[in-house]
Amino acid sequence: MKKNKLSIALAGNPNCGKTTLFNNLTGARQHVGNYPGVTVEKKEGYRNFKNYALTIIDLPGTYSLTAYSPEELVARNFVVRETPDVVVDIIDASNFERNLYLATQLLELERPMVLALNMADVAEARGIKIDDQLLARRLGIPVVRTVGSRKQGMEELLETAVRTAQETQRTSFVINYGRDVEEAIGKLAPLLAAAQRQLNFPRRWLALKLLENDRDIIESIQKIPESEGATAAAAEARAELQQKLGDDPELLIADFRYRFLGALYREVVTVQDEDALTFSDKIDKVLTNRALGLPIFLGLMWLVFNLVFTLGAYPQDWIEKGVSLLGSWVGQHMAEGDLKSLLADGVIGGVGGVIVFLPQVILLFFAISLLEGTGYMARAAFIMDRVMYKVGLHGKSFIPLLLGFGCSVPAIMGARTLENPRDRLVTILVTPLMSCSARLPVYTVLIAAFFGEQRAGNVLFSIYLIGIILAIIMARVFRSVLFTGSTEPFVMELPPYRIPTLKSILFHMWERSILYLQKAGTIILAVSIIIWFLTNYPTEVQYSKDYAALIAQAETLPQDEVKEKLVREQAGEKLGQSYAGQVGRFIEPAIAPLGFDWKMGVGLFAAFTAKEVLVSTLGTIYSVGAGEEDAASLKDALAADPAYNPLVAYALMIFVLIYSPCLATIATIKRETNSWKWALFSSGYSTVLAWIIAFIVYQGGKLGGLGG
Amino acid sequence: MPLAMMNSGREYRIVNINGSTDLRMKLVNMGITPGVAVRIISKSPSSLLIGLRDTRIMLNSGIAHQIQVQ
Repeated sequence: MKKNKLSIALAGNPNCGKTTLFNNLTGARQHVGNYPGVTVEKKEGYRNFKNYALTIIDLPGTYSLTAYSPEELVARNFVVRETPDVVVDIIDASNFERNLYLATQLLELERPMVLALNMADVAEARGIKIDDQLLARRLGIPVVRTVGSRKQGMEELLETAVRTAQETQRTSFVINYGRDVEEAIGKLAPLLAAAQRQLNFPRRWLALKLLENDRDIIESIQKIPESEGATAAAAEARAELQQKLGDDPELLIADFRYRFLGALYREVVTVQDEDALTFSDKIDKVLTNRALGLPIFLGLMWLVFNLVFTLGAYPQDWIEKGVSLLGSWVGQHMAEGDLKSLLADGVIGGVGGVIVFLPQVILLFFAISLLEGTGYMARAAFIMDRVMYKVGLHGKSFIPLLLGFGCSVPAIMGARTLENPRDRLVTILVTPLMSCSARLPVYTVLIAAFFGEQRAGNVLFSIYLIGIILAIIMARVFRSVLFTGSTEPFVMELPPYRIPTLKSILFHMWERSILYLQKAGTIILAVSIIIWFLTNYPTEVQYSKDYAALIAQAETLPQDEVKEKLVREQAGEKLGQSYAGQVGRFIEPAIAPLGFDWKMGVGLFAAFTAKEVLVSTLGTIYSVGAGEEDAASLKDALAADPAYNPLVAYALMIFVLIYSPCLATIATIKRETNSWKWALFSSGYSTVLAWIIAFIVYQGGKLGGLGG
Repeated sequence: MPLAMMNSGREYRIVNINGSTDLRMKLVNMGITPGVAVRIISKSPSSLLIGLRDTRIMLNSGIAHQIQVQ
C-alpha cells in the first residue's frame, strides 16, 4: 500500500525541549546537514505513522521571526517557502508568555499549525495551571499536551498534526496592533499584491514586516517592479508612526504582541502558588555564587578528569589484552610474509593502539553530555564570563572551548551560537588549544613510559592547563591584534536545571563516540597502512655490515644476546633507510632543537591527519623495528629507546598539544569560516607556537639540568 | 536606576530600556520588556544572571546599564 507523504516542521524557543521531542518522534532515523548558504544546522528525521510517511524537520530554535539572526531567517523562510504540511510549535508551558511570543508570529504566517504544550507537568508542579481548551479556542489551532522526557503525548501529537495538515479550512489569526498601526497596514496591504504572489508570504504579514523595517523583506520587495511603491510608502508610514507614538514601530508592534499575550495569560493560566524562588533558582544561588561558583566549577572539572582516567583504566586494560592476544594469534597462525607483517604491525599495531583509548573517550563524552543535559554547561558560561571578559570574549565562548576537550570538530561548530563574527573567529582559532580526546592516547602512553604513577595525574593536568592558558593568551593576542573592537553586548537564556534521562545522555555520548570509532576504522586504518608501507619499503637496502654472515656466525655462540643485538641493529638500520626514515631525516633538522629524533618526526608528520595517529605510527615503527620476537608494548619500547627521556617526552606532549589541528578540524574551520585563509592560518600559527613553546621547554629544561 | 547597580534578592520592575533599536529588539524578543518584574539571581564582575517571566537570562554589565528599573 502506498503511503501518503507529509512533512512536519518543529518550531520553538531554544530550551523548550524541542530536541527531545524530535528524538522521540523520529528515533534514530535522522539526517543532519546544513541549510544552503548558512551555517545553520538542518536536522531531518523520518517516521512511519499509520498510513503516512512523515518527514519531520527540526527548525532552529528561535525567540522570534525577525531578520536579526540567520536562524530566524531560516525558520521563517522554511515555513513559507518549503511549505511544510503542518508546523508544530513547541511551547515550554512553564515559560508561557515568552514562548507564545514566537507562536503568534508563526500564526501570522497563516500555515496549518499545532501547538505542543510541552512540560506541562513541570509547570503544574510549580502551581501553574493552563486551560488548554480555552487556549486552543483563542488561537484557533489545536493544542496537545506533551511531556518530552517521558514520551507522553507523542501519538496524540502526530495524530493531531496529520489531521491538521489535511484540513482545508484555515482559521485566520489576527492581533490588533492598535489604530495607528492598523491604519498603516491598511494603506500598505493593497500595494503588496505582487509581492504576496512572488514571495508567498501573507500580505498583512508583509505590511507588518515593512513597518518593522525588516531588512530581508525590504530587500526582497525592492526587487519586485510591481511593488515599487510599497517600500517608499512603508518608510513614510514608519516615520509617521514614529512621530505619533514616540518610538520605533517594531518596538511598538512587539509591545502589542506582549499585551495580547498578557491578556491571554490572565485568561487561560491560573497561578496557585506564587513562589518566585524556584528550585532552579535555589541551585543557582549556590552554583553561580560570586565566591563559590569558580571553586565548584574547578572542583567538578577535576572530578571529571579523575573519573575519566581511573574508571577508564579498567576497560582499557581489557581491550589492551584483547589487542595483544589478537596480535600474537596472527603472529602464530599466519604464513610469513608481507600480509602477516601488514596485519600484525600495520593494522593491529596501529588501529589497535588507538582503539585501546575508546573507554576514556566514551567516559569523557559521557561527562560532557551530563554537563549539558543537566543545564550546568550554561552556568559554566556565566561563571567563566569574568575570565573570558578579560581576554575580550564573553562567557558564551566558553561553551565551545569546554566542548573542545571532547573533540575540536563539534566544538568549532558550537561556536555558531556566537553572533558576533569577531568573537566567533577568535573562539574558532583558540579552540584547538583545548586538548581534545584524540590527544589523550599520546599523553597516556608517554606518561606511562616516562613518569611514575604518582606523578602521572599532575603531569597530565599540567598539559591540559598549559592548553587552557595558551588559549587565553592567544585569544587576548588575536583580540587586540587581528580583531580589535569593544566587547559586544550579549544575552543568553539559561535552561532550567533538569535531571536528564539516562537514555538521552547515552544517546549524546554514543553520537559523539561513534565518530572516534569511525575515525579509527577509516583515517587511522588508512594512515597505519601507509605508514607500514613507508617503514617496510624499500626492502633492498645497503647495510653497513654483512648482517647475514655475522648472524650466522653468532648462532654458533652459546648465548643469544649477541645474535639478538645484531637482529635489532639490522632492523633499525633498515628502518632508517626506509621511505619513512627518509621523510623523518628530512624533518629532523627542524625538530632537533626540540630534542626530537626522526622517528618522532615521522609520527608528528603522520599525526597531522589525526593526533592519535602519533601513537599508531610509533606503534608501527617500533613493532617493525623490533623484528620478529616483539612482545613488549609500545610503552616499554619507548622507555627503552635512548632517544627519549622525561624532558623529551614532555616537550613532545607539549608539541602535540599545540601544533596544527588535525585534518578534520582544519576542514571544519574552512567550512565554518567559509575561507581557506583562516583554516591555513590556524594550522600555521599553532605549528609555529608549538615549536616555540617546545623549544623553550626543552632547552630550558636542559639548562636547568633536567633530562640528562 | 540601571539594573546593573541593583542588588540580588529584591524584585524590581523594568521601566525603560535604552540603547540601539537592534539591542532593544533583541531584548524584547527574549521577553525583557518594560513593565516586567525582574530579580537578580547572581552577580559577577562582568555579568548578571536575572530571573524574569519564568526563565533565567544571563546578560553582561553593558546591557544591564541600559535597563532602567524601579
